[in-house]
Amino acid sequence: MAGRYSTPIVIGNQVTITRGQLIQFPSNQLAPGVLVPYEINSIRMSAYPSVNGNLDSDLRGFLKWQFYMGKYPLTDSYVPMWNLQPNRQRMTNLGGYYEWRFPRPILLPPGGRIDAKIQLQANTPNAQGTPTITAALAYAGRLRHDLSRMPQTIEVPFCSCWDTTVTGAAPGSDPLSLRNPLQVDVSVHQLIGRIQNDTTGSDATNAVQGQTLQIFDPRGVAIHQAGTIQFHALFPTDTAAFPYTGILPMNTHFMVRLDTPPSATDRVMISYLGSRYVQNP
Amino acid sequence: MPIVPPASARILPGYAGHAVSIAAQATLNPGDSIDLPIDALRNNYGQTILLDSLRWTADAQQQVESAVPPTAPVGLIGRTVEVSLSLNDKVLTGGEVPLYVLGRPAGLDVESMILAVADDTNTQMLLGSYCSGVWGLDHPLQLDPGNSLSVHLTNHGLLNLPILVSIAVTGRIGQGLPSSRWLPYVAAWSPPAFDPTAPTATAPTVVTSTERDLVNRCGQPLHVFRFLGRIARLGVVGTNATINVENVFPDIEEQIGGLPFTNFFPNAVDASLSITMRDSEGNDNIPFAIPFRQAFEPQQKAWECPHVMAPDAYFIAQLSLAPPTVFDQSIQPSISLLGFYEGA
Repeated sequence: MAGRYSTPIVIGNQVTITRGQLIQFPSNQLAPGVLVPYEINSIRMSAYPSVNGNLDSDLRGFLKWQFYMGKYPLTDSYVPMWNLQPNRQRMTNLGGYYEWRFPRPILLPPGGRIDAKIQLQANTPNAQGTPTITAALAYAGRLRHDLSRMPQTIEVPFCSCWDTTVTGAAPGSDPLSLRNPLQVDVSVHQLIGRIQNDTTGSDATNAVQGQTLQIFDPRGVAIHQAGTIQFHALFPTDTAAFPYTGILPMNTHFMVRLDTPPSATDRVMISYLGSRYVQNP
Repeated sequence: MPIVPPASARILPGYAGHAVSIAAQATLNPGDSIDLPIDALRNNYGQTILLDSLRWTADAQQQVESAVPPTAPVGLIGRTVEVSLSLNDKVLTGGEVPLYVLGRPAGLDVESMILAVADDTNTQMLLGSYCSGVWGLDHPLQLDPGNSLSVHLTNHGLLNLPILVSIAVTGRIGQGLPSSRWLPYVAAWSPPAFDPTAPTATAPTVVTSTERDLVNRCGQPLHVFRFLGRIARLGVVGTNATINVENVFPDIEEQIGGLPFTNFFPNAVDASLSITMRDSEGNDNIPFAIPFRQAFEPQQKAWECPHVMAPDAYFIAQLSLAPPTVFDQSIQPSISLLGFYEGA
């Protein structure tokens, strides 16, 4: 009966990482062992201290991921784990589980794979005295035995993030953040906004979440046209998402302007989630 | 014969029929294994019913007295009661399956509750337990007049208390309803409970399902919607709470505080328990060991994977418990597959 139906798969691996380190997941464990087309509909990420094993909420903004499929990147450099999904359920997010669900699956050719790297920020609080973090990664999807040929183009998701730690304490994002570095237009469907207290790893206080900002789209039009808006009004704490839909042409970017510069403690991270079509690799 | 009530103005135009519910219940002592009376879930309305959900509750609070706490650990009782269902000669479950693998948990924070009663010597109180869930049917199940669901219930005694189990089906009844040929189906695998204090780093506990567990017994192609993976944890003792071998799970402070984190990912058991899986067609569905909750995500405890499963096809799952950085006395995993087949 082989070859008649599509078959579910989950492929993944886990690694341990310490602060300030960068690790690539073993490529041979991020692809199925058979040469058939397959599709991936979500990337599941989780992280927890290796020793204590207790609840840890300090990793979401400190652990950053990079994904790429051959020459096609899925992320613009490294993106904090919690900027790859909206808030779904508080307890799972607190528990260190994040899932980047794609609007439509990526179809990978036989032998294709999505490679992954992670880095743990050097100033990550030493959570509960544990020295290392175990980070687990899994791709969920289906083996497409039923697919006789690959289509000419496939849809590949993409995420870019403005992380104020990386870009410094400027009150506004630069053209290299929240950009489209690709050679094709990106269809954006969501903006994700987070603020983390870097000292404790917890959510920023309500007062910090109340700071005002403005976001301009690629044409320079303010998203909130009535003026600046409070951060948690644009990115409500129950979702941390703003349902922006539009096209981000190549070589363009969103621009963020915070009314007050981000402090060294409260780190603002804003990302967009989108996708584009590429030639079948 | 019951009288079908007149149409309710609260039913929106375009929706045929009236809402209807049929319920049955039984009290099971530890070790009891009983059939519900055949007319317990019978359609006595004289008209076709299209069922859209099966709801269950398991309540172990009735027999609990604060002065006589139970001597056995109190846990998630959706696991301790198993059910098998059939409609006429059509199977709806592949043998007995735990109640809480019938459907995705609609709300983890309300799925189970603990009855809190103060202890004389310890402010933590750990007594009875209540659990409920809804199996929302992805396609309606047609229950013709005179037909009934056959239900068999077993209390496996993980909880040393009588348990009142209620089963209810809900749907619509009326003349203008469409017909449905779809039948739901659930198969499950529940290996013996792990004892995390026994394995070591070099000799982890490993259990493997058989060809008779996660199998399509329908005789028809099964349209699988999802897998569910649940972990019942009994007798948790930890550093954050008073050491108590009878400590319930989750502990009561967390329940009251609205953050029952030890019940959910990623306390160590979810991370230390890894899974691989393959199927009868030679596919490695989970080729490399990954944490349990990477396969069955923690929010819905589900792996959404629509696909078709050939008759008599099966999945083989293997669970490995790595070094015991966990505090539990006993860990009972359950994995189920849920789908539909054309049977009528």
